[in-house]
Amino acid sequence: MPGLQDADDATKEEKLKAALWYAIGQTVDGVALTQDLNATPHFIGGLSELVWAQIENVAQDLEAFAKHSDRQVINTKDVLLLGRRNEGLAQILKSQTNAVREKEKTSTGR
Amino acid sequence: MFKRTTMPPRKEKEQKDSVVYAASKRKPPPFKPQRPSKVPRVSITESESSVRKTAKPAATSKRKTEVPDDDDEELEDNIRPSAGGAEESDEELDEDPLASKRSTSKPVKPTNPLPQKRTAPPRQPSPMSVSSDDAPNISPERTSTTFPDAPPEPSQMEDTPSIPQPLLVRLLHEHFAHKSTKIDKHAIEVLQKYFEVFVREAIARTSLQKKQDAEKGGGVHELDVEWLELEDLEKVAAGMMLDF
Repeated sequence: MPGLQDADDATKEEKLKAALWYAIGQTVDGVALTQDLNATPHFIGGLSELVWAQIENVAQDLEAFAKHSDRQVINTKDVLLLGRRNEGLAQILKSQTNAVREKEKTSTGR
Repeated sequence: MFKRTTMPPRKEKEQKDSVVYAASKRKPPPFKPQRPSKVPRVSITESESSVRKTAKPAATSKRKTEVPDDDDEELEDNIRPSAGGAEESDEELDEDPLASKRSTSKPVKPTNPLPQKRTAPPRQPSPMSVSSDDAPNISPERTSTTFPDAPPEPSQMEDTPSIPQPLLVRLLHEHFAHKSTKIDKHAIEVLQKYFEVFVREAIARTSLQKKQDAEKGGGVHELDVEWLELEDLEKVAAGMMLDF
């Protein structure tokens, strides 16, 4: 029953988008509060779509990166590659990677 | 590069201008925290002291933060064993503009630098000390995002929630071509940061775009400047996709 399948997919996607919308809304509100800005609901919706598209791109990129090094598990190296076209972003990702590792160390150290 | 677009190099100019003022060497209080760029400069001596601090961070930070530094180290030792690690210290780095100058990766800051400073004023009982306490409270967010030379700002997941991990994992798996593809725990955390940066950048660029439009006088009402709209996002979307 392909028709039913499609309908299911559509509602699933809708739900996921709604969840993403909510999450982005939270982030935008948080940022807006600290910077004396306001965001219209339209803006949040548009940004959600943008992030959705970006997640799609990123997912495919990451999968390709992992596959390229014969892995099935995406690790931080692949994520670092996402910053390859943007120096500042690469730096942020790198420091975040280190921070995550540090955290892991301190939590497993004891 | 994208850092620069979020902010005009306004602050640097101010520094250069005000360095010209004759130095009143005795006046500057020993531990004046960096002032946020948005806060209006009250008096010349005041801005002068803060400028001298920001102008030569390497030279001055040693001398001026001597006392707080000692405190920091003591506290640091107390706190490090008990604290949850990098996440927490990142948060602290945010609160102290000076700290972000030194290094971002080092998990150094104590959890309560502000109370420490609040006890300090006896050394310097001027009315200014009150405002100087307030300043760092407002500034950290701003200085880290508006200061061109600052290193990438540390994690701010506490105050601004990013995309929740389960949701992000789910969305990624929706788009994987092979069901067998997995993602490791560290990778997802870094990816969370990636999207936090993405969202923040989108907001920053949009608000900048809005301001520029307003300056051009493109019929943008003054009250509208702080309202981010879909049209403004659309203008920056192409650039965003190119840079990320």
